[in-house]
Order: sequence, then C-alpha cells, then structure tokens
Amino acid sequence: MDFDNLIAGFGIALTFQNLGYSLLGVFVGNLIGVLPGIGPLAAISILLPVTFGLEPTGALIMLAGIYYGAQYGGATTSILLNIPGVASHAVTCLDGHPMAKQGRPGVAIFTSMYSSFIGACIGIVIMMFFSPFMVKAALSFGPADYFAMMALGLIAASTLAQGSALKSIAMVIVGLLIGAVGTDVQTGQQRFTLGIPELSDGINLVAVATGLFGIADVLANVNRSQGSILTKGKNLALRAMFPTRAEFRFMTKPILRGTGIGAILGILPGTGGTIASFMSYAFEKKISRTPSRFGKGAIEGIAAPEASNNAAAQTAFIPTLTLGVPGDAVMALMLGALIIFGIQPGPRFPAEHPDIFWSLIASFWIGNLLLVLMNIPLIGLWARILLVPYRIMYPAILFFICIGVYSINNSLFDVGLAMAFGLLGYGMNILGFEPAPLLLGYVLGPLMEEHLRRAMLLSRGDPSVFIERPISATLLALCVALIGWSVWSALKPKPPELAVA
Amino acid sequence: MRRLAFDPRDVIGGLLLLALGVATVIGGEEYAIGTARRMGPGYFPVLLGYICAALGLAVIAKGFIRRLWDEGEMQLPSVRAILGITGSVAAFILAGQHLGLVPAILALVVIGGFVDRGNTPRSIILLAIGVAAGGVALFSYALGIVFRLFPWSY
Repeated sequence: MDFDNLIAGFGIALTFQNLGYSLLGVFVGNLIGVLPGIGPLAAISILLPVTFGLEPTGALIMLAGIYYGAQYGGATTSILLNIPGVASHAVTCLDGHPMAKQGRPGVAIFTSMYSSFIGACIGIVIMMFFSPFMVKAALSFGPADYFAMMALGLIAASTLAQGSALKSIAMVIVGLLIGAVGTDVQTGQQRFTLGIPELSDGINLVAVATGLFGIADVLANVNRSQGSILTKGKNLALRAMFPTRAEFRFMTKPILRGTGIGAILGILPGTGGTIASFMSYAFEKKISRTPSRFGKGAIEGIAAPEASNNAAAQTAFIPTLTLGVPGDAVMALMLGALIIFGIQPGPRFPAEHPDIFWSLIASFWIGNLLLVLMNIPLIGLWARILLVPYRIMYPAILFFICIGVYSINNSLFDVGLAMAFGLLGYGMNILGFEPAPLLLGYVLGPLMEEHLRRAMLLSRGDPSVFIERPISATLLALCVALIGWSVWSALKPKPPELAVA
Repeated sequence: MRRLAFDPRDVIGGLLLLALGVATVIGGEEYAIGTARRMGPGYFPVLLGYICAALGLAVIAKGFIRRLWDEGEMQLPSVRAILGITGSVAAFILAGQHLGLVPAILALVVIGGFVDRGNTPRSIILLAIGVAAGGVALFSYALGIVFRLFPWSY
C-alpha cells in the first residue's frame, strides 16, 4: 500500500480534464444503463470507440465511469420497471419493484445507491490493499500457471453463470477460435482470414462486442417491447427519497455482509456481480428472522445484493489489472481496451504505470461519489427518459453503434463485421447460447495460446508441467471440480413434478 | 405447436458447432501443426476445432434428453427484424462508401425505422433528420471523426 502513489493518483484524477472525463463517463454510463435491456457490456462496447481519441489515463477513467454508471443506472430500471438491464440486477427487482409499487420508489432507489456506494468504497479499499499482494504472488506465476488461471476463469464463468453450462463452454471455445483469426504472432502466418486483408489484424474487439451485445439486442427487442411501461413516476421528489432512521440502522449489517460476499467473489476468476448478488440475497433471506418479507419490498433485499455486486465490480479489477486475467466479460472488454492503448496489464503494470494504476483507483472513488451526487437530483429525469418508447430509441442506438465501430479504424468493413456478429448474437439468443462467455474466450484466446506455447516450450513438450507446478495443479483441479459439479447437478434426478412436465 | 422428440435449439446449435469444429480442423491443416514442444500456428486452432466438434455432439445429445432441455421454447426469429436491420446497416455502409455520412445516416434510420410497426413515415423522417443533425454535430464536429458528410464534400 502506497500512500504517496495514491495521493499522486488523486492529483492526476482531480485535474480538470480527468474530472471531466469521469463526469462524462458516469453520466453517459448512467443514461445508457437506465435504458431497459442495455447493461454495462453494451454501454461500454458502444462507447469504447469514443474514448480512443483520449490519452490512456483519461480513457480508462471514462470507461470505468461508464461501467459503474451503467451499474447504478441498471438498478433504477430494475426498481421502476421490473426489467433488469443486467443479470446482476435481477435480484434487485425482487424487492425493489414491490417497494416501488407500494409508493416508495424513491426510497428503493436511494437504498440501492447508498448500498452500492458503501459496497464500492469498501471494494476500492480492498483493491488498494490487496493489489500489491497479488502483484507479488503473480511474479511467481509461470506460463503454465497463467494458462491454468485463464482456463479456470473461462470454465467458472461458463458453469456458474445463467444458462446451460455445456452450451456456455461451447461458446468459450467458439470465442477462442474467433480470437485465433488473424496473424499468428510467433510465425506471422495468416490464419482463417479467408484472404481478406482487413482480417489480418484479427477481428476487431469493438465489432465483436457491439455486434453481440448492441445489434443483437436491437434485433431481439424491435417490434417486441411496445411503448413504455412506466407508470408516471410519483414520489421521486428529493424529500420522499430518504429512508427512515430505523431503516438506515437496519440495513447497515446487510450492506456489510453483502460487501464481504461481493468482494471475495469479485476477486475470484469467473465469478462476478451476478453470482455475488444472488448469493448475498439468498444469505440474507436465510439468516432473516422474517424471511416471509422477502419479495414484498424488504429493504435488506435491495441493500445486500446491491452492495454485493458493486463491491464485486470493484474487486474484479484486481485480477484484471495485476494478472491480466479478466474474470468476466466486462473486465475482458476493459482488458481489451487497455491492450488497444498499448498497455499490457499484469504484475508489472502497477509498477510500470503507477500514474495510470493509482489515478484509476482515485477515479473510482471520485466517480462513485459523483454518481451518488448526480443520481439523486437526476432520478426524475431518468424516469422521464424511460417514457421514451423503444421504437424511437433503437434507430439512434443503431447509428451510435455504426459510427462507433467505424471510427476505430475509419473502416466500414468493421461495421459490416459488427452486423455479422449482431446476427450471430441474435441466432445465439434464439438457440439459447450465452454471448458473454464467447466474448471472454475471444479476449483471452490469444493470451491463452501464447502461454500454452511458452509453457510447452519451457517444459520441452512435456504436458506434466501443468500438474507439477502447485499453482497450476490447484487451479486445474478446481476446473475439473467445477466441470464435475456441473455435470452432476445437470444429471442428478430432479423433483418428480419438474421431471414429468 | 407440435411436440418434438428433441429440443430444436440444441440440435441446430449442436450441428452448427459440429460444422464449425470440422471446418476448423480441415482449414487448420493448411497451417503447420508443429510439435507439442514447438507448436506451429495450426496446433491451437486444430485442438480447439476437435473440442468444438465434440461439444457440438454433446449439445445434440443434450437436445434428445428431455430432462436436460433449456427452459421455455424456441422463439422463431423475426424475419422482418433480420432483413430490416441488416438492410439498414448495409445501406449505411454503401451510402457511407459512395455518398457520405449524412445520406448514410438518413438511409440507416429510415430503413431501420420501418422495422417497428409502430413508427409512422412522419415520425421516421423527423427522427432521421434529428439523428443526422445530432450525429454530425457530435461525431464530425465535436469528436472530429473523419467521414465526408455529403457526396460533394471531401
């Protein structure tokens, strides 16, 4: 832990320019996050190109702002409309929406923001103290260990998230294959480019992400979600937002418990905010003296999961920045963005770029504070935006995607590529395949291949290196255990009423 | 809807995965495989191709075991959405290539806008003008993205 660096980081983050980027990021992220059906992934992929003109620090600050801006915004939509923008807010709907229906939408939104803020703050502190240890540990990582770590991340992300584990693992493989398109770094061989020169640099990250999450979303929602569902927002005035003092006291412990669960799951590869929020909700319900209140507007049913998923959102940066191994698809996008800026995250990153690393941490704090300050007066505005029908919104979204993808390389070819990935994502949606594991596999593919080749070269072609090194052996054992567990839980006999169906 | 003995989502998806895996293995043979010690550019993709094909078979098998089916039923894809949205993006690309950004935006929003049955011609035209004006102001002037605006500008 390095206070000088942190202070220097605040110095950079608080410059007029970076403060502006942070403000812009959280504002736009919040705005996009509020729109139903658009989560942080779509928000970051659509706005990623906009940040490419900035210098890396400013761009990262803005991207991080978009990320948690979208997180906060998603909670608002869950509470007001009962539509979770992202899976990690699905739990917030359970008690947030009933509370809104009882005429207290303001209190529900305030509770979610307050718990998110506390969760995020604690998450940042953990990140500050824990990162140096991770850096030290990471220096003893060999290529085999990195490979095993990424394998664990990919397997955990596909077996623990929603949907069929088998199909998600298949999507990871497809993602790894898509990542292999382009020029092989070690031999210069063009692979799977079909002779198209635009593909020799590989398939553009932004085209993949905006296609899978932006265009696919438009394809799935157009003509389906009619009009707006929001009943005119009442009780969103500032005065009606504050919980009672008893409620404040009542939610402190759930917030802290949620934060703890979230912080741990955020650090682990492959587990992110979604699992954290579900787990902390289940935990609160289990230890509650009155579990019957859950689902009917229990305030701790909002506080614990929201604190949990924001703590996880912060601690997820630890493995991403110090190991270069992203835990989920959002972090994979962040990692991809860093690499585009010419920064290779890993154990040397905090030491080589202390200015970026610490100003990013400082900006997390500033951004979260800005969000709380901004969100309270803006709730009324967000509620009005939710009244704009989707049929007006999607052509503009489509345009943002097209121009955004174009602007990265000034290439209309990439726009076509994004459209192709949009169709792929729509097809996957219909066939019940999850897009997030694909994106994660795509980003990790080249790294995994490199580490695999290096590990095998060092071991002179002997694969037993993966089980001889303790770190790699442990991680791979966890992979096997996860696969075994998901096979077992899929095949075990279900209760008769479900099996008959 | 007629009840099937299999889940069409799994069978179609599995067949596609199988096809992708086989295609990768065949395509990857062009590249040097190398040895486990010195892997050539073909090694990793071909390995993945085999795994992909195997997973495809597993997904097909899953589709024949009723107990393992995903929740819900397959929604048929909306042909209107696919044709309309693809057409609008294709029009954006073509118009962007030959005419410039403003015609491209108008084409994108007008064609894309008609996909939703709730939109009227009037609302679509107003929306197209609005998106074009806002888009040019934001991207061309504020962010300085290089994209000629009209056929006659350069």
